[in-house]
Amino acid sequence: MPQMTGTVVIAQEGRLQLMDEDGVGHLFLLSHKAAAEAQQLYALQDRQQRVRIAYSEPRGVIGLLAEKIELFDGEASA
Amino acid sequence: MKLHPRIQAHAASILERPLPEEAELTAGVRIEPGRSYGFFTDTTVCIGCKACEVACKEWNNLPADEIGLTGDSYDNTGALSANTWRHVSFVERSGEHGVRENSQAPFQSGWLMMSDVCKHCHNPPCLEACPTGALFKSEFDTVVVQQDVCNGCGYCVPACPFGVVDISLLDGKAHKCTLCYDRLKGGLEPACAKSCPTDSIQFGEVGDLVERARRRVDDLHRRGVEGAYLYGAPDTPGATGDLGHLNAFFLLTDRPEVYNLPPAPTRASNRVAPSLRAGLFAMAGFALAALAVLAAGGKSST
Repeated sequence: MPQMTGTVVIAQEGRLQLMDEDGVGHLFLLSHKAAAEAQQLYALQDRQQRVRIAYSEPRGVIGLLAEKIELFDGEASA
Repeated sequence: MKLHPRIQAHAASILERPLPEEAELTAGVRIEPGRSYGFFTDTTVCIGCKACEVACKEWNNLPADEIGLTGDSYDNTGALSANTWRHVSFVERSGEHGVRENSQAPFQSGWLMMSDVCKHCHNPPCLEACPTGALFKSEFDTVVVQQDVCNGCGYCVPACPFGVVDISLLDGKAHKCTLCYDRLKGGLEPACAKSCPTDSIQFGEVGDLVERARRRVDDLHRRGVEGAYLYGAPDTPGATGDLGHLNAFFLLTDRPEVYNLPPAPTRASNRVAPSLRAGLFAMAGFALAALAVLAAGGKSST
């Protein structure tokens, strides 16, 4: 599964914007398979948290589906 | 932690602090909890620019979907969905005053364009159908889905008489317009209304909007647009079937069906008692028929 690393700049409901290492924004939707809940994303936004996201590319939508989110500062994964 | 220069540039481009009560500047209304807010969508001045769709997706971080061409006029969004909370419909009329005419009467004679949205009903059927309480009425009299409470059962979807609420197959939860609940809490006008270049979408207190809309209908009648009427305002078409009124109401110039709106929407819960009664009568009828057949069989065997 492809992965992307970056900073969570905006979180809204189950959606987040990730700014990657090149300064490009990517829209992620939290998959129902992910071991995380929508309300946990706001803390990532408040901290401007760096994360690594394992994702898939859903059909028919211009966005990425976050299957697994790992904190990049050595904290526990979500 | 070292931030990328692009992130720092973004931070530098925004204001030091939000403007207090910005909606007073942009919409002429102060947003306070306990009051009733909504949209008045005047379709006669909609130019189909889709700025509202884009603003909604930008603010709410919603992905583009239905990629491709629908072949349905200039409408490539198709319908309201879990990822599309504003939808501008394009209706091309044919025949006299249709889109092929060389000259057209003012106020959308050949083209009908309307920015559709959740109606934020006074008595919302989706809220009544929700078993978890994920759908609730906010302090601004709007209807919002709490994502952390929604279990994705989908009962709200058929309950909505307007086909607004939708379940996302990606995250398994119900989604719809929140009337920019987060912006209202910050004193900001909803993104779609703020971006509308012709003020086809007007935001404000429902009472004020209804007054403004009635004046607009009278004005249009004076200008010769006899077919102009309100849909969803108190005591008008659309505010039927115990829905009360719609906080997001419309000014239309043709039948509601032309805009893909139901002519007489109703609460789904209104149909529970009649359908239960019909089911009980049917079961009683079947039971009586079975008893009659059994009795007849018993007589013939003796």
